[in-house]
Amino acid sequence: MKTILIIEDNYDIRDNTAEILELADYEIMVAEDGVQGLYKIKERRPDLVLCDILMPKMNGFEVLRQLKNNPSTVDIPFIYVAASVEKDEVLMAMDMGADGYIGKPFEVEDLIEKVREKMALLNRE
Amino acid sequence: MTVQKPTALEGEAGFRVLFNCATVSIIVVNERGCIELANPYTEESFGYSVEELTGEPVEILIPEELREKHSLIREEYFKDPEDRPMGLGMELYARRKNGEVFPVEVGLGHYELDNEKLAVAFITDISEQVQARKILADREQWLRSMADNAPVMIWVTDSNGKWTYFNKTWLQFTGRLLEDGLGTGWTENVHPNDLPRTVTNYNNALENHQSFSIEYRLRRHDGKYRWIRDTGNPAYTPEGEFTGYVGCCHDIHDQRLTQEKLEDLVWHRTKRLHKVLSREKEMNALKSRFVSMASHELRTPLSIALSSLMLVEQYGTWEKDERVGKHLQRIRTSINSISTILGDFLSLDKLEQGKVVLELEMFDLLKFMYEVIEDVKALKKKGQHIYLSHKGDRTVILDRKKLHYIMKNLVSNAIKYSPEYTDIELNFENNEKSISMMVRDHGIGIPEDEQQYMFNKFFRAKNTEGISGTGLGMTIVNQYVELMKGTIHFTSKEGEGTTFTMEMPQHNHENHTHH
Repeated sequence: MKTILIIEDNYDIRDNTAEILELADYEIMVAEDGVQGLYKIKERRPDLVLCDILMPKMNGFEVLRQLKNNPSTVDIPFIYVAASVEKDEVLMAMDMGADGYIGKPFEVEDLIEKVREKMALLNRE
Repeated sequence: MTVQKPTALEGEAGFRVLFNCATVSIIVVNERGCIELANPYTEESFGYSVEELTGEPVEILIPEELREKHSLIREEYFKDPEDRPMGLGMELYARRKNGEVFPVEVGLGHYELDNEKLAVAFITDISEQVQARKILADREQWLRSMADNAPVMIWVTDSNGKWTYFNKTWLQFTGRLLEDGLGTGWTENVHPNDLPRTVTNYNNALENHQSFSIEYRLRRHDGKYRWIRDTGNPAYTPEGEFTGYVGCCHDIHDQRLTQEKLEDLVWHRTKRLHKVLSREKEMNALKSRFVSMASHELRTPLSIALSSLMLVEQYGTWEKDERVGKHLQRIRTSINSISTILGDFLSLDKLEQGKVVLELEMFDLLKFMYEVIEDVKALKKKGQHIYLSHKGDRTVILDRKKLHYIMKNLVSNAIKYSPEYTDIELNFENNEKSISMMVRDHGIGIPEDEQQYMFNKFFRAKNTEGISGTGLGMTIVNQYVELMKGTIHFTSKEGEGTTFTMEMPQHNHENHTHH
């Protein structure tokens, strides 16, 4: 079973996203901010990371930067799930090496589709 | 060698020639005042024959009223006769036989013959000179009167720039005498604060013989300073020699005060306007921040609602009850429309702030249209069909995201504002010059009197009551089309339907990014 780490400061969103993905047969890990997220990744490497952008302690950009700077985590697929509708932020996110972006509120189908797509790429490798 | 023969004029004959041909009257008068001799020109000039004159008192040639005085002067003269040249400035008059009086100049000589004192008078008719002098004097009087009575202050300078003349208007204004103002005396009437500037400007103009116009305060006769505009033009002789300036001063005091008042008013108004504008700007910035913050903050609860809704659907407990399903669908639709509205608010705000830029990319327009149709599928009413036709190359270079917004809006409007069992037609044509797109429905149409407001913010036609919408979609569509340098038009008839036509310019292959 593939593992997904959800880094999201809002409890309800985190919990709902986890529930949706569990129903889609993924194993879920959660973190409520960037610092905790990085710690969880160190503890156990997930197959994919879903990460919010605006969070306390450490934002999503910093999380991605640190993952990309570490050879052991550089290839973990990373998808932003953020309410940010600022075009610039999205572009910046993609430039930093994110593998995808899902805007909030998202349709469940879109989320699952995007996650499956990235997982399928993993299987091929 | 021959001795030169004396010329005729040296003898008696010569004298005769001079006497007879002279164009002045020559009269010889004896001590008793009687005419002894008169030359032929005298006949011509006075109208008497020489015979008539000979022996007559010389006073016959003088106007009656002067005769008595003349005889006294004559008697005095003979007591101590002396030669007197012509033109000593004495105003003398003579009388012709016909009584006509005319101005003359008289030169006198005297000699004695046989112990008798004789006087010779040379009389020149100066009528023409006097006439000419009078014309000149009249002319000058006319000019002076014109200058003095002109409603402006007039002055004249010499070639050194020293003032030589002021008209009465200037003198009356300043209450000074002509002598006071001459030379540089006029500057005493200039306001001390304006004087340096005035003198500098004046001297600069003078140096180059240029025209000038200077405004300064001039002291009036009552001691009050008035703003005047002093304008001077260089004057030249017909030969082109600079003779000085001719100028005039206008009292512009009231005009200037009015102008100052106006300027003051303008300054104050502008200041107030700036204040209002900056407040307006602040309000706009605040609005932008609010729109951005609100839409961001609202997205989180919407996310939760939407994902919870999905989970409820997943757990499937509602499957037994159709009514639950209907309400779940309503919740979903409502959340999506709030989300769309938020997006519209944000897009419009960004458009208004000029933050939206064109992002061209190359894509398959046919595939794109099918995606749009797929996106709006859920909105379709019973029996509604969307037909797509196209012509020309499918590959286009356009701003895909903005075109997606535009097309989705136009097609979902077509669905929204059309009844069940109607067709919606989509068409695009790609030719060398442009890409045209069309969306046609057979719906409720747009009332003719409201069509002009179609692209206005928050506009909703009166026949859309009961159909949800913010009135922002078409505003954004229009602005996106404009940004893409395209055009959008529509024809519509209430109750029959609406056709939107867009025309987008072709972009060349160098100016876009591949995706």
